[in-house]
Amino acid sequence: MQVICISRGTLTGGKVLAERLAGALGYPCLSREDLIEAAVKEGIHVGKIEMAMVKGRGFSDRLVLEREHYLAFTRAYLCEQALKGQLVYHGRTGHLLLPGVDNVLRVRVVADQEYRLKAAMQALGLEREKARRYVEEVDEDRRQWVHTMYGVSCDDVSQYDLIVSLQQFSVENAAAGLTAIAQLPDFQMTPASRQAVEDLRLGAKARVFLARDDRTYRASFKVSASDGVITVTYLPQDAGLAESIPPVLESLEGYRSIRTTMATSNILWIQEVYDPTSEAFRNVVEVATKWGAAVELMRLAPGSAEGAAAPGEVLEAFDGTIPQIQPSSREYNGGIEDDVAEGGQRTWAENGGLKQTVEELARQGRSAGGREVRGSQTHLLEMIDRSVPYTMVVVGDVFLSKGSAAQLRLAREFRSYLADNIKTPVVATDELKAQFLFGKRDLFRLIGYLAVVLVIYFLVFTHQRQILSFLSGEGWVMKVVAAVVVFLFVPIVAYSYGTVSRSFLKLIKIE
Amino acid sequence: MNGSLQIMLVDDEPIVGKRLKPALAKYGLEVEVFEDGPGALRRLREKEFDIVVTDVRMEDVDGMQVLEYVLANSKRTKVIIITGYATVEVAREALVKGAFDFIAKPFKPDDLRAVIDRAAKALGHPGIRKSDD
Repeated sequence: MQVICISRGTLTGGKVLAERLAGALGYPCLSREDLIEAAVKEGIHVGKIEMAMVKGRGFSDRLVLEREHYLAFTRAYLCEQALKGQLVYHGRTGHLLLPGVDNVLRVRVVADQEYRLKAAMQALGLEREKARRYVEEVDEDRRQWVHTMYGVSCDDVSQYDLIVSLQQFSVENAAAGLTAIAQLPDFQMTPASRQAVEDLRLGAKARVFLARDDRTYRASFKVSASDGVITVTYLPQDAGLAESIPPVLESLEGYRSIRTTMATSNILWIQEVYDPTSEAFRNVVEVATKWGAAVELMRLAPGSAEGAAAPGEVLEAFDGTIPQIQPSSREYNGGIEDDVAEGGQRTWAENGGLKQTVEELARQGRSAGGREVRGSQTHLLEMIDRSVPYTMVVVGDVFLSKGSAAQLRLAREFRSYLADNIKTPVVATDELKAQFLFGKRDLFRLIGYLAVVLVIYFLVFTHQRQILSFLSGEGWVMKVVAAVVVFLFVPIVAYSYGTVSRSFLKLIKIE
Repeated sequence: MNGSLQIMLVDDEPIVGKRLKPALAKYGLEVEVFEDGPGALRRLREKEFDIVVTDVRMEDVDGMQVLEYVLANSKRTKVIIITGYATVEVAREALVKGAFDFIAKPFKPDDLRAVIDRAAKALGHPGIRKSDD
């Protein structure tokens, strides 16, 4: 088994080189277009993902699932082709499709702007200015694609084994050079690399099975495989699906056992009105990213949590991983879906930004869903699922209909009530930054206390003789003075040193 | 410009026309559906449409050829591309060549109506709204 992945930019000649190389080596040649064709036949809406790049739109919850399905499908497809024997693949991100497989030869093909402009003018029949626009826009879309799909930059040269410019080589010579490089021992299959491809295939195939099945296609899963053991991680709100996972994967070939686990870190964010463009949102996402946590939203419908008698009720639930797909949309409709019935969608203002915020979280891979609830404090407490391992509860702006003083008091009481009744830290959104994120204030504190610590250390180590003489002074008066000075001095040093350490750890995101 | 908008819909899958035609007609649009590129080109030689909605992948004559024909023969007609095989390369090619917009399948008729509404306004038409039943 040998795999050569050629990552090509817009009209750089990578396709021609890949085909020539495959011909020279006698390997099958697989292109991204082939993968897309297969993915569309699988029922994945690749075009929607692509157009999200072109139109600069965020990913809806539905697209997040399409992305998971697409990534798993393309990986499984490529692994299956690779396991059959040799393969040359060319596309945008060939170098990212088989992570952890050592013997893959990863090549990037580049060309200068003039070469590409001429190629665009010739291939697409465009005038020069339009060709320039085309090349620049497609480059940007591709950059966006790689970042959105894989979270890396396609311009990071460390991801490639070789970078080839077809201005310096003819296609024939470049293919001949790559043919020789492909024979090097570094790019030959080893039992470890074969096992890595087997594991990738199994994990990806399991994710595809989950996406295909009616019981599980609406949920988000992280799936990996190691030595035939498949591990499926699901979000807390999908706990009800855990029992369905083994039966769904039953017909998958090549696995030894299946493990299912719930994601272990979650933040519950309670608020009345959400705004995915707000600073509070950014802070919550930053903390969640730092902890690898998913964020669950619980919107308090206005007027909630004030009385004691109102029964608890869930008014509306948006699952960050459940798209609003009607069953009929799984039947073939030529790509034309049914309109949403009038009044079927609530506006931003009506749902307090809940749906949009869940979608933005989903786009960033941090959503654990959201719901809108109403009821007294006691009932709201009952609606918090105690089986979910929350790492923290964040309480934002609540009781907005009250005056500012009453709002502050009620919010403080609400936080205290939650803290008393659930075994999880409860913090306000405005405290989040100070407690968990490194800001300007932390920077000044770090610099200030670091200066204090350095001055103390400098003075102590440059005046050791005087200090020892002071500490070993004669007479009880001097001994008492020395003891008092040490008693006062040590906590000051400890506090300063502790503050520096704490701020530094916060800076490097270790707590 | 206040008359009914003349729409040409070209898609080789009959179900697309079957689902979209009534959804557009409901908004007072006059829609002619074609299931092949050559038939659409023949009709374009006879009549100037306000808006052409065309799939990209079709046998004989594809959506890009329809786009190029329209742009070469009618300055005012707006072309909207629809496709289930959208890639950024195809979308950018269509937009650079002069397509009004590009919609990836699957979509809802509402999505297409919104683009048609924008195209209509760009033509000086007041826009589209639901006809009284």
